[in-house]
Amino acid sequence: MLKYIARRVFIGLLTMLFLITATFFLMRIIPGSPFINDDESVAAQKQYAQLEAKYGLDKPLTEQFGIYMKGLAHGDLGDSLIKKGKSVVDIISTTAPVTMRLGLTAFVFSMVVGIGLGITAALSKSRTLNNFVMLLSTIGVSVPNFLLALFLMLVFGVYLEIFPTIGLKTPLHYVLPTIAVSLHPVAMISRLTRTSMMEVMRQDYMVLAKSKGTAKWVVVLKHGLRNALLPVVTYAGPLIANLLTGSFVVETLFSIPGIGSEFVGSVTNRDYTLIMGLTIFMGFLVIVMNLLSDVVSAWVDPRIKLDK
Amino acid sequence: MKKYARLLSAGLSLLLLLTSCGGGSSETPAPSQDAAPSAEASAPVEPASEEHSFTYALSSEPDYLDPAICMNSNTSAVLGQLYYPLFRYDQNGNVQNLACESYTVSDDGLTYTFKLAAGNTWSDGQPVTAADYEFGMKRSIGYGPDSAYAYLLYSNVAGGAEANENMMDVADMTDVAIHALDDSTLEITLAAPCPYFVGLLSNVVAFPLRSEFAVEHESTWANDPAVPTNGPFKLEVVRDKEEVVMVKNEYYVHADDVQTTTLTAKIITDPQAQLTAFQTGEIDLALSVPADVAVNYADDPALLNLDVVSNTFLWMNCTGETNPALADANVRRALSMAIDREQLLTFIGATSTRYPLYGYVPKGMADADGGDFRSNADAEEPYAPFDLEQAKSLMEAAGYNENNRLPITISYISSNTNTDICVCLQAMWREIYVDVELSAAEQKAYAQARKAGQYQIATGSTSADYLDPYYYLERWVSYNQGYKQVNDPTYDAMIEDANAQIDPAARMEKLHAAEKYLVADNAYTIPLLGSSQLGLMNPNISGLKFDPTNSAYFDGLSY
Repeated sequence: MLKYIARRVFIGLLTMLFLITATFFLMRIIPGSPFINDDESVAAQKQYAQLEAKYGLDKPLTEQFGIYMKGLAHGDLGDSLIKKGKSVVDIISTTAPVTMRLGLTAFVFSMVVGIGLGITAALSKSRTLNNFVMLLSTIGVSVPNFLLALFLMLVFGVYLEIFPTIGLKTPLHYVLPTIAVSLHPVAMISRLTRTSMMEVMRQDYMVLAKSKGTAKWVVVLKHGLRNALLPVVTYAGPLIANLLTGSFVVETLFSIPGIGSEFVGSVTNRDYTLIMGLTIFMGFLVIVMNLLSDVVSAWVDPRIKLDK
Repeated sequence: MKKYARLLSAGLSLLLLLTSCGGGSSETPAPSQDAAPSAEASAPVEPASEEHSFTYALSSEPDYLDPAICMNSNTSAVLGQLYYPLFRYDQNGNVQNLACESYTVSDDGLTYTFKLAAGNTWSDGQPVTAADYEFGMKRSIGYGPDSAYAYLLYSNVAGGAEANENMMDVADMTDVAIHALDDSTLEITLAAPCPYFVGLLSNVVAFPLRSEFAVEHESTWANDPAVPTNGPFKLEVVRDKEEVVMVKNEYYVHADDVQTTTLTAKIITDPQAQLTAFQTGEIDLALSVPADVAVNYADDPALLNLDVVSNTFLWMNCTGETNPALADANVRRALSMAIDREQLLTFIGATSTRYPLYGYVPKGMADADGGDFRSNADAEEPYAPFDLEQAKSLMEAAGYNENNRLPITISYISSNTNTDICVCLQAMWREIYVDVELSAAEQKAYAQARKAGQYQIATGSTSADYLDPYYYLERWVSYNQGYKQVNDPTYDAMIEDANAQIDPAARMEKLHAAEKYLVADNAYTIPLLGSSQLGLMNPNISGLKFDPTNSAYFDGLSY
């Protein structure tokens, strides 16, 4: 197991290195510069040149890459080029927790609701309920979240005035954005759970367990769910990474000061240092979460042998 | 069951791990409340008769609240409430005295002596002195390249350019001609006469600052509520990317007139979200709303249609490097004459929020007689009249006809309005044997290509940093262009000549002549539309002050 983890960590580091290099040069290929604007007065021209010099953008690209990597090795992600005076670390440490709070709420919500719906649908003989879950999961994967977010804002915010639509101040503020980011995962999880639960329920050992006279809920939870959840665990790793890196659309619409909207903004602004910082941070999250999810799967499922 | 427990514990520890890094809060803590009023015995005791709070939306996160580096309207929309400058523009664009009681100008137009009004006090109870204004201005000049508007000062004040170039400290700026003669007298000497200079002192870079708080060449001190300010409001807390909360400054010189006790600026980037927040009552003022608000709220008292100085125009690559036809003044004039601006307005659905523009300088700039520069010029003759017949004959004279059509590419920043404008131009120019190809690009990519001269015709838009026609007309002087799409020594001389005039009437007359030469005679640029600022405000609250440089002030709100 340790050997496996060590190998994965090594591959993860290589992936990060590749990610950093590729992002650095790709972002510089996009036309435009952080300081360029439509103003051409003498003062603006002078300011542009001074800023390029101050932030070292006038040096050759390879030299800039060297400087950046050297800083990175010392844990220095630099200062934002656009947000004057703010360091990239500051920006990440103020925005990431916000996205994490929403992301974890959404993660727990999706898991509970998704698994619950999946089991209910799998065990129930009711056609209506089954159809409802299938309909919900079809809607969930096909409706884009900006549409759902706007719909929720209009119905529950503007017309019914039940939930606030700006920011994440109180628990009530979490309701609409959580639903907006969770619909897709809920649909995926309920589908996965339903399918694998139905599969598991047909297995011989389930029949055996039932015929031994074990209580129904023990059969379902202990023997059924544990085996049925394996595909869900595999899905959970990428899902949590996805939720923790934030959604630009949902964060923008609900004015949530999170990392997802920051990332898109940094690209539009050509805020090179911030793009790099966020890429590294998010890349790290994705790699770690994937690794964790694999390890947890192995832990749960005795059939997976990591060392081989 | 054991395995199951392990899964659970693994999941829990994962959750714990993640939540533990999620705890960090970014708030700058407010200082112990009301520490200031109790410190001074002479504190004006205001019986808090009624609590009023007002919330407005910002379309992006403000930068550090340091006047020297402020470069966008979202930051100035906060700074404007915190500081009390010498001057400010009123809604008609006239310069209004605030902290400056009166001033005199020497006969050569170079030396300004400002007398400060009494009673101007910092939020910690200390009096505001002329030296605080001197420090604020000098600090902006020496701040470094991150100060976008320092040019307003350093390009005019004697000795300023050198101090800016060398990023000097205020202590070393003895040669910069801004001097506090005593606590209430400030003297500024200019390098050359600048008839609109007092208007420039309304800009954030001329705000007063306390030297013991405002660290030079850096800005991180600025979001600390402990830093005293002298405006109607003082800072309570800054929550990054979320909101800026301000409270009434009891020491403000006109504190009795301020009814608002809590002022909150909420950061809501999406126009649709601003509209929703306004509808739910979470905000009282939204100034970045979807364009269809003009229609949907047409008869609603909540709708604001505020005058701002802003134009939409066409950059013309007059060098002929990308399209030789554009080097011909008659072709450019024909293109201008073929545009029916009234119809353009209707087509883009902006009849209530924009107006047809027949010169380069938009409405909102004062002329020498106190009237409006644009309206005065239009009354004599519109420089860009719609005349399809003449446009056709100009094109025919230049050798174009049904069989020999002129291909032109228009570049623009991708947006719905820009697309509508360009599609409309495409249809109008079809009549004069021009085939238009549209080329949309994202903002920064567009700016880079245009600045490198890689365009034929491009749409542009400019709003004013200060209110004088010179601001607009100066942009077409050859040295003010990195890529010289307009390079005409005659025009350069006309502008220089105009600005050398000390007599305001003579100066304005020459500026009018220069604009006519620019737009009517040569069509070096083609004006399209002027615009106003759309907004929504809680109709139960009145007294919003809004100046044409796009700044809102909340000291006069009444409930």
